[in-house]
Amino acid sequence: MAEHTTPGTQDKFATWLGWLLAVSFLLLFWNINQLPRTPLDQREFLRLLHDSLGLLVVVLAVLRLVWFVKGPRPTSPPGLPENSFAFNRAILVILVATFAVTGLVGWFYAWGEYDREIVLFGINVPGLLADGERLRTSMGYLHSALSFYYLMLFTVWLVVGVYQHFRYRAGLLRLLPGSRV
Amino acid sequence: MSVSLVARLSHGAVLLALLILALFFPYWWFGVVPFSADYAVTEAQIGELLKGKNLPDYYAEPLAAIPAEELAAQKKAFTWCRFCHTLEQGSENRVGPNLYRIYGKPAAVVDGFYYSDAFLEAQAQGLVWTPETMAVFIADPHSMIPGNRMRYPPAMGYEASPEKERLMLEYLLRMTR
Repeated sequence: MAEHTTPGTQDKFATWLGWLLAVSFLLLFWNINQLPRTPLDQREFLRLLHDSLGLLVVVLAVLRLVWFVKGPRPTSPPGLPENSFAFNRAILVILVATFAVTGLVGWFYAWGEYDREIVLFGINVPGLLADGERLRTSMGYLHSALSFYYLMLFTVWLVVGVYQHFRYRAGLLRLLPGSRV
Repeated sequence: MSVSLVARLSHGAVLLALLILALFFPYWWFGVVPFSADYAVTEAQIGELLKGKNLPDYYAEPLAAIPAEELAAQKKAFTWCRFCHTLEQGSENRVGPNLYRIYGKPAAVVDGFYYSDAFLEAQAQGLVWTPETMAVFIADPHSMIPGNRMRYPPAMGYEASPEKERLMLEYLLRMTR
């Protein structure tokens, strides 16, 4: 666990998790965009896919959060001040935490929907809460608000990263998933 | 890593401010609210609201078949409406109310939907949905009912036009029967 990383890079496990999370989330994002464009009576498969991909993102996000705490802490790329690098890390931690919370809230949202089966990777999950309009509307709102939040965080992540590149020559590839931080 | 307290606080403040902003976004963007209403309008109340209107039953006669291309165009024009409204009998209210058999109904009579004060006021003023009133509403929802929560046209990536609105209205009549 005490793997040492060179400045501006992160360990292999964090890198793999980052890629898996990015790919899973991109698939989920495609799915999110397709859902409203699909008539309600043809959404079943997309909904099931949404639930399963959402669970996958939650699991990966939780693992990543654990690794933020337990894994080796990367140091800033050469030339990038620590205060500035800390902002990158803060955005990333909150972004991943938001993925996890959005997914969990989505689960409650799904429970609130009438006549809605939750099937995760082919396994039917029993509802633990009674469905109801209040649960559906409140959790639906929060699910949506958190989705806006991670889009904002993405935007800030990009803006800050581009700024750091031009101000400190910190590199642009570090904005993508991978070993660079 | 030694990060100054000021930096930590300012990072936290920015992220918190964004979260607070995000919590309002579904309302700003979609007009959705995080609660439902214990709201039900009885048939008798609907009858009262329709008294003296002498409206036809817009769903009595079957609609003539239309070419597949025309139906596809209507469906496409209606895509953004579908984001917020269900059309089928018994379907749930989403961001907007269920629109099943909307034509010929008074405004703001869908059970359980949390209507804006503007819509409740429009109901009190006697607004009934007909193809004509719906056309005026779709053309400019906020001129017809100022302060209502419907966000149409959508904030980005959409251009309204009379032709699109015609297709939407026809699709609405076709799919809510």
